[in-house]
Amino acid sequence: MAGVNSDRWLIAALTMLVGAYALGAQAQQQMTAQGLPLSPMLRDALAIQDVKAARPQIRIVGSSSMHDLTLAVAKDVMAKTGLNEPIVEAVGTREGMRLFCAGVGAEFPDIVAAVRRITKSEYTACMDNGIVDIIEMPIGLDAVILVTEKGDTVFNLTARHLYLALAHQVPREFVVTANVPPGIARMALLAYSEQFLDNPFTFWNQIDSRLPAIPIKVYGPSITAGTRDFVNSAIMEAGCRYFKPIRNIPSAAERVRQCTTYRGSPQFVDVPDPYEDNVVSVVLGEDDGTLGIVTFAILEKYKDQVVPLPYNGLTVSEEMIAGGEYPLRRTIYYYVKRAHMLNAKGEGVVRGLREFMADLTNEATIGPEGLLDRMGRVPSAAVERETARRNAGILKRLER
Amino acid sequence: MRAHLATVIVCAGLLVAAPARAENLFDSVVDTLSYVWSTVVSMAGSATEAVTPPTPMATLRSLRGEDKGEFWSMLEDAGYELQHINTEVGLIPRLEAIYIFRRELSEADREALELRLDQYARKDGGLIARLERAIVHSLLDASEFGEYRISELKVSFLPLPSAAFVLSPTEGGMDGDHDKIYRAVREQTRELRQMERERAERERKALLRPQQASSNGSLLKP
Repeated sequence: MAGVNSDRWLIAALTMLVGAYALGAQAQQQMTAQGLPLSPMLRDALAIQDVKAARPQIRIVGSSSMHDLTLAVAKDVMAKTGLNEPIVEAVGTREGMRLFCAGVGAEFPDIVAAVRRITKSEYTACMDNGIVDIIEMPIGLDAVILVTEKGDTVFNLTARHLYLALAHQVPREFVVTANVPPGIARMALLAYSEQFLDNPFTFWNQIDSRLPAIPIKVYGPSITAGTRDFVNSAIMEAGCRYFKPIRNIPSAAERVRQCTTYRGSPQFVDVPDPYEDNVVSVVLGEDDGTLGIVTFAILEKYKDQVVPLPYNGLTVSEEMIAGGEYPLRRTIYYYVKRAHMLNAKGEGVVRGLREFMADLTNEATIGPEGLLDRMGRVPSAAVERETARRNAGILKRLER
Repeated sequence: MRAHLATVIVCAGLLVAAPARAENLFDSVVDTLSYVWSTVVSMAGSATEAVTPPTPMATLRSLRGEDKGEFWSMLEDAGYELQHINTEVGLIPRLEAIYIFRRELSEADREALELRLDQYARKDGGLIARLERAIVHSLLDASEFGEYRISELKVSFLPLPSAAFVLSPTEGGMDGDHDKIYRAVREQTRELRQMERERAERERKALLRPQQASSNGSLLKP
């Protein structure tokens, strides 16, 4: 009888222990899900492991176009989990990728925000520097748009027009037949040994007689901005690709150089960083026909002051970006270094990367009417959002 | 019939040897092939049409000009250039186009081509279109091999559609040496043309001098 009683006590004690543990775990889960910070006492009570992180806060580098979004997500994560305020550096996508791929350790960033996909060469640089596990999260859509001040002339442009207007050198064969003053045409005719000539176009109608007779003046992103890389590939390379002298260049590097070397002021002026904040202010108050290259978020922000120009006959809209019809749409990404996460013993570079990824990919952030939508970006399709969530959940390694 | 066959053989030879000269004869080749093909089809009956998807004439026409077919245009976007066309006319005609690697792809080129392939897939889901897309996809994938590249592509449409790839070692990318060679050739051509221009100018002046002297002389005369 005594043995039975002692057994009962033992079972009761064990049940209580298990119950207390379950209640504690549930409380912890509820607290973090509701976004309430955990007090140090409660944290100790819930037996959260002491972590041996090399850095007290997450470090995020990358796109200046995504700076506002990154800050908003960081703030949200901080409020929900009680993590330290992340360091967010808007250095541009290209520079961000360079820093991200430079190595593993506390001195290197944990996350990079990018307005384009990681390139093959950047991926290779990451691999070479020991960053073998990169988690890619495509979180939404954005677009690049040409805008002008409200009330100025609005005209349709194509990649070909923009390449011919902004490149440092253009194919001679085109200049010969273009609508240029006779002196320039004669000069081009005589320079028959040249494949390319220094860009002689100063007015839009010299490139295409259907365009207005207004001077070419475009404010674009600086060389460090990810938007510049996007403009290079989606506009400049697309515009030059089908010219015969360009096609005759066998090396990709040489061809890219020829297509993406810009002429200088006054036809093309690159706006220094923070590009996003400066570009609209420089376009406003300029002569008729002055254009700016901006993102959709900036267009939304300043829509009472600037108007979009049609591109390939299409005027940008949220529906067109979501539906994939607008040609200058792009996907925006976050990349996370798995090697910086804490291991089972609580050792690693920084705490909170999983929480950051979970918050970044949940529907409240990237879904319709979510944070991303409210901040002028366009949510991607449900299946793509699910992919981002899955990549974050299972820490899927990026393969390129 | 024999005369037409002879024209086809001569023109095919010209296409290989001197593509520029063959340009004018292209239409006559196509016309001759049309004639031969219609004769073959009328002999073999409608069964031939059922197993030979595009006619040789349609294929040849779609290979050239501004409005070249989607597939051929995509092959060019993938960095390949038409080297020559082999044709054989008979009861089972043979038609194959040989493409060689000419141009490396940049990342933007690759993305643009992938987008084009997607659009093509939405537009045409047919068997031939699928095969065409598979060929272009293979070229795209091969462009990322690193150590090897597809140096030659042989696309056959008749008697049955097929593609053969020749893989060759890349011996280093085109980035370094090819750039240097390309620039050196460009520079050399520029210098040669400059020299030629100067020589022509000297000759023109030399020709003008006696004329000027004689005209000056006549002016001096009382």
